[in-house]
Amino acid sequence: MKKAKPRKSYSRNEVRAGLILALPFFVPFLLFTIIPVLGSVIMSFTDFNMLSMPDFVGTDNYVRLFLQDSIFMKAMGNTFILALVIGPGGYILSFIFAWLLNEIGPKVRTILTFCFYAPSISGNMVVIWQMFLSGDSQGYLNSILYRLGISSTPTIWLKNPETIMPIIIIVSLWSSLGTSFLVFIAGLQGVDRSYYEAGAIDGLRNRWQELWYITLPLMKPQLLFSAVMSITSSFGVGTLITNLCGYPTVNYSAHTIMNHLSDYAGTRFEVGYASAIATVLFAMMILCNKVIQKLLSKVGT
Amino acid sequence: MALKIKRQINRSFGGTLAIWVLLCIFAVFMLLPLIYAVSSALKPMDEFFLFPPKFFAENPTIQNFKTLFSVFDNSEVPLSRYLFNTVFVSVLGTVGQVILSSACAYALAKLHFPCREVMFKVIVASLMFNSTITSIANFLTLRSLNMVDTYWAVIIPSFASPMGLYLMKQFIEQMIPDTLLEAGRIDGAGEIYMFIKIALPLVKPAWLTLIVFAFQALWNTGSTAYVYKEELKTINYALSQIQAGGIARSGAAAAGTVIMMIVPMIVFVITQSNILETMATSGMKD
Amino acid sequence: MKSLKKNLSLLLVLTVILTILSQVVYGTEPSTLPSGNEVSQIWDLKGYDEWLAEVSELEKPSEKARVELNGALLEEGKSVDVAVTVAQSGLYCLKIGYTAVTGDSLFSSPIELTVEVNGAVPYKEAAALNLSRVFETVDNEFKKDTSGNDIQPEIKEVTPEQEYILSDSSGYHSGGLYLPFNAGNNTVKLSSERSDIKLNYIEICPQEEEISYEQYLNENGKGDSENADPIKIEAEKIYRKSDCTIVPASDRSSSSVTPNSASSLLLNTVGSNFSKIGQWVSWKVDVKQSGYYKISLYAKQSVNSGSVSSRKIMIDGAVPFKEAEVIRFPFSESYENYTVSSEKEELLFYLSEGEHEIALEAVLGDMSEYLRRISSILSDLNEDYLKILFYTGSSPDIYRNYGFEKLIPDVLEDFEKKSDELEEISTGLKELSSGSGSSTVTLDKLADILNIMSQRTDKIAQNFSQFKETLSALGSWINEYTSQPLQIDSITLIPENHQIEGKKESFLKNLWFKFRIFLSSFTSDYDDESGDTKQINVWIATGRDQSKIIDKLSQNDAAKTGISAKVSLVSADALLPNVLAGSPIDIYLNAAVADPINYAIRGAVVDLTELEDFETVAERFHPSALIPFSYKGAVYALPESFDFPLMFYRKDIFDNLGIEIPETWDQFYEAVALLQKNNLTVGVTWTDMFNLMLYQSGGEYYNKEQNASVLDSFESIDAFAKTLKLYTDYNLPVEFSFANRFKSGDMPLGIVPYTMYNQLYLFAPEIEGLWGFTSVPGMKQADGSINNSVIASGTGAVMLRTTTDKQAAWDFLKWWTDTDTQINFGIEMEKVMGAAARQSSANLDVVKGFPWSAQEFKVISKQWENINTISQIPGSYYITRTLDFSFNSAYSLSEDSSRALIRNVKELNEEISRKIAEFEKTEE
Repeated sequence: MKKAKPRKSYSRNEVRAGLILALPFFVPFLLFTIIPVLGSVIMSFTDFNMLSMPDFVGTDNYVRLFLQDSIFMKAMGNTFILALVIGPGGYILSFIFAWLLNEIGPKVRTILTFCFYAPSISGNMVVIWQMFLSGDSQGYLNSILYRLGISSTPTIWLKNPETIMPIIIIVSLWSSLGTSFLVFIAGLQGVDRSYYEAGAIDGLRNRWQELWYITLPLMKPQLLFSAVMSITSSFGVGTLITNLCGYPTVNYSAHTIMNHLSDYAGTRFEVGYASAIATVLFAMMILCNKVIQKLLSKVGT
Repeated sequence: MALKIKRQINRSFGGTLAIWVLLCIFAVFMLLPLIYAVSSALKPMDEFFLFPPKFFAENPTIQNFKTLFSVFDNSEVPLSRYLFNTVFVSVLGTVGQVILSSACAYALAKLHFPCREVMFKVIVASLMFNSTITSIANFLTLRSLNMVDTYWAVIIPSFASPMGLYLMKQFIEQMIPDTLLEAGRIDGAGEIYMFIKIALPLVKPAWLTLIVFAFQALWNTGSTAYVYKEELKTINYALSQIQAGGIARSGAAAAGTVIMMIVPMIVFVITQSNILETMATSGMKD
Repeated sequence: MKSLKKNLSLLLVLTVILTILSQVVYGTEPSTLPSGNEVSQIWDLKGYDEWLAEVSELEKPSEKARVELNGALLEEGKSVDVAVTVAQSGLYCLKIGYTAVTGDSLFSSPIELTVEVNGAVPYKEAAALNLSRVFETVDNEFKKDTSGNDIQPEIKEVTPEQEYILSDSSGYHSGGLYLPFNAGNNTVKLSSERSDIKLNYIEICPQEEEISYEQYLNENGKGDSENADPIKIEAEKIYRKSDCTIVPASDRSSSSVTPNSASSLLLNTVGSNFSKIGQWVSWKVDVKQSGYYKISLYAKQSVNSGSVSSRKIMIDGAVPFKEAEVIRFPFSESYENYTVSSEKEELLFYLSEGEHEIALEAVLGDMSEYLRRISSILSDLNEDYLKILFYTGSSPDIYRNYGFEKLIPDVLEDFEKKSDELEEISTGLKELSSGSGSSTVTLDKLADILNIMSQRTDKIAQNFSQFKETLSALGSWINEYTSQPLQIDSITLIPENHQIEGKKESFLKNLWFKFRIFLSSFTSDYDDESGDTKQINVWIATGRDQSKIIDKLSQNDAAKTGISAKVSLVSADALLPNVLAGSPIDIYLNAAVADPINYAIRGAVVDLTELEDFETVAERFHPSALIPFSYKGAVYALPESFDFPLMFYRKDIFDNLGIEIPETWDQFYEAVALLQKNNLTVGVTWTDMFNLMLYQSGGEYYNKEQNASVLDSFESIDAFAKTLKLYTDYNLPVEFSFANRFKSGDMPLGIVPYTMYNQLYLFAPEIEGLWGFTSVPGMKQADGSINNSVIASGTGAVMLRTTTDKQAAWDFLKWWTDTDTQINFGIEMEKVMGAAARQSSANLDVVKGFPWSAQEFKVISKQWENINTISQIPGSYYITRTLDFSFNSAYSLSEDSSRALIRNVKELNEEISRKIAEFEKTEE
């Protein structure tokens, strides 16, 4: 059912101001975001190998991707699992922590926010996890298990196909307190106090009701933003896995689409095929995005 | 009679205490990478490679920092130049990104002009595309513009951050009621004037947050693939190349990592404490 | 006549009786000797102090005896016996007059000798004598490179006649050491561990004492220098030095250092490497007016914050008086004026009119006795540590009662003794350094731990790892305080009675100077406009130090080679886009082993076999070094680094447990079992193990046509199964941090790349001398020989297709892989970062030129005969995951190893065929 769009008349001032304000952004955006994306899509129909001029091959890459590439299928599966868990998981976690921090007084809040955001700044969270999960018998996890008498030989956590996926999920969740987290904090600050007062007068009795009926609806724009960011990052999980478990993960057990992409682009020099993968990933994410938007519009009702 | 509304409406004490405890435990846990990085930089070489590593250095020493500075002392390009490069690139890039993003976001959120919907959808869609391949295309673009191996190779691409724009747009939507702008228009204010004087101050938490992201991204990347001249490199790039000098440079590299962390942290703390300014009133009562 | 005969015969009889008597009373020295040149057993000999205590009753006669040797040549690895006769038996000092023999390249190896008297090496210091060479600067007018920076001056080795007094090379004992001689005939055997040397004479004499300062002043009378002008010597204008790694350096940290420039790097100081005991540097000075002068140095000792750097001053090769033996330079963050003085007064040196040579030699000074004692404490404690380790393993159970009182009572006693001794030393040091307490923290901590462990044996397990770490800290401490760094800007000779202001550091001036440097970084042209040398673009993606050194070396040799390289340090992902876009890059250095072929099959690099005299150049390297860079007859890169595994072992642990170093795999498994019985283990990575098993049994990765992998062959499956067994049946750890465990003694045997040396050097100073490496075990072949081949891998230098001048780029590659250049490069790297930056090379002559000891180099060259490499074909990047997946499936998921391997190899071969097809398509 198509909604009839009321044709608004554009005021000349608005149009002029709008264009003046918007265009400066669009020039670099076009050059450095749109063109590469278009280029990528075009390249997906070629067999570019990074070093010589590409040849047009039509849809060969896509055919191969869907029909002959079993690793891609596995990667898709892995990516979906990870995205389903990490996406919403990380999202909810970020929100919970942001909301919890919002309940605390201002000075302490700055300190705690800093603590929570610290891993993103110091950028070496992978190192800590590697230490903890090392396959060395003196690694933290292994030596704890040994002391407790649970296992007598060290397990190589990061190279055991059975344990890799759960580990990735845990580590990703832990490191998901990044962009979304800060955005939520800022957003929570932006909610007008008067609404809370009104709510209290109207009969809301505890924090939870306040959260659902007032805070969340008022933060819909931020919720949407963070949702999009979460989708993007959870589908794009790749570097974390490589840093943690080596490349590629044993038996492709945690091979994601991004890993597959960098494999083809960086190691095998098949940039055309990698572009095809990227385009497919892109399409998938846009689809998911639409779904999420529908879901979020129902928040607060 | 104004109701003195404290924030503590609808709050039980037990609930607040529980929240406190939970948060503190988690906070300590989250600080581990930071503590580890700092203590590594303070470890002498005979402790550096200990496994399992200790979280606190037994015999802390600042020798690693001294080695780091001495590496720079005898270079043709002085440390001050690297510092300048980094600051220049980061500040310019951040300022540019914030201004351009805010401007465009405001236009897309509040002003009506043709193609507005399309533009926005394109921007959000572009967020979905991330791949290592785009860097090749960017390189070719930069090359044809003759910007490779200059400061601009790093700064200009950072202006076009879809994430920044999306962030600003959502905040502007949330925090700036249309009615406010209507009132302004009636009063005769120009659109651009309203943008600068009314809208921006209202979304302060937003662009403060954006500053953190933009600055951190610029500070940490420095677009290593596009700059080759030694005198244009940022500190981050130079420090990462020290580590590549081999195992003998591990200590200096650890010291470098810590130094690199300090500035984004300071930026973070400053901006966060400013976000605390709550919106007392929105200026309009519906 | 008759009385003469009578007297002579009496004399003869007396001599005989005395000789017999001396033999009876003193006997011959016990021979706990290294056999042949087995220098590795040095650590078993006793130290000088212990030996001296045993022979302290012997006389120290004041006789002298000299034997002329007239320049007899003593070759490396050989020895010469010299007969010396003295009338009285007792302790004498030994002087050796010698002339150094210049080696093949400029970097002549150090001269290392061993001395035996009457068939025995009396103490370990006598088996490690370092004699100095002399290097002279050819021209002290520094030339400039195209950016206006100074170029290092050329140096050449000169061989004057020198005299060496037998002394402690580590500097712990100052002055000459005693050797025991019998009355009558003695044999002194000199063996050369390293370097050839010409012997001029041997002299036995009593220990010489310098004259005191008063005597010196008396002897030289009154001086006449009141009207003379002060004479300034710029320290970077070195005349002669003992070590070619001591070079002038540029220091722009302070504006007071002269000469300086804001826009270019001028050489203005000497000394960043002038820190090892025994090194000396000398300057020439022309004195116009004879008389007394004070010596003042503008120098900085900013490295050792808790201690003092010491120097010995020599005028024209001799120490003028006793007080000049030790001049102290305390710590200071900035440059200071140090006037040579004793505790009471500034010292005056008499200089006659004319040219003189003033030299400074690094000595340990006041710290020497303390360092000596601490060093021996460390080695004793290392032994004690091992004794406990054998009972408990490296992670002792804190809840278990081991019963240490019964097991190791002597160790507990030793702990107590050492704890007291450490406290005493610590007090002494605190007085000495007066103020900075940081220097004794480690000692105090160790004394504490030892005390606790000796009093409460139940606390030993708890404190064990801390004990080890403090020992390690002690090792570092010793290294730190043994080093005597001093950076010198200038030396001024001040005439007696003059007072000179000296230079001063000023914060504001420094700031202004730094600012000017900053500004000039915008105007300086870092792109060397070469002028009359061809310029080529060299890209390198490794480290900053490497790129700077390569740039410097290229500039230094630019006049000779006609090529100057512009070195750009880039990130690895910058290369390919630039090649694609056609940027004019000529050479790319340090490409990872798989890259050259990857680039080649896409046409990005040049086939080097097409260039003239490729054959000659190829001969420089190990024959298998070019294999990973060759495909279908073409060679795409020249090898740079070349690393392969060797077997590292802890000498002390092996000796203690009586285990022999394994040479075959059967012996290896035996050693594993033995070590495991003692709670220790062995470390081999499975990739190394697999390679060893495969290649030693004649297997291969690829078939002859190089179009498929044969990892599913019988040999390969067998090798893979054997590898797996090591971890599943013998329980060796799969993942381990070798350096850590080797250091703690938990893993006294391991097969690791020989560049592990670098990490051990850096990380495990306390076990220095207690470990070594040797060739890996091998498989017994049908004909009885042992095949112990290893797989080597390294980086390579490629020439890109975007090069603008193939010939010039090839000239650069030839120059870069030339033996002298590579040795130079390695030495420069070690100058900057120490032995932890030791390089590896595919050219054995280059490896020889690095400061490996004779023993170590022997091991490397022995393994050199048996090295293989793995070829790279299209698709070989897939190998890592093939093996990785197979092993981990077999190990963690208990999948049958042959099934896992075959399955993965099938995928591998599919990938290879795909890639080859792709490659053939692009070839058309």
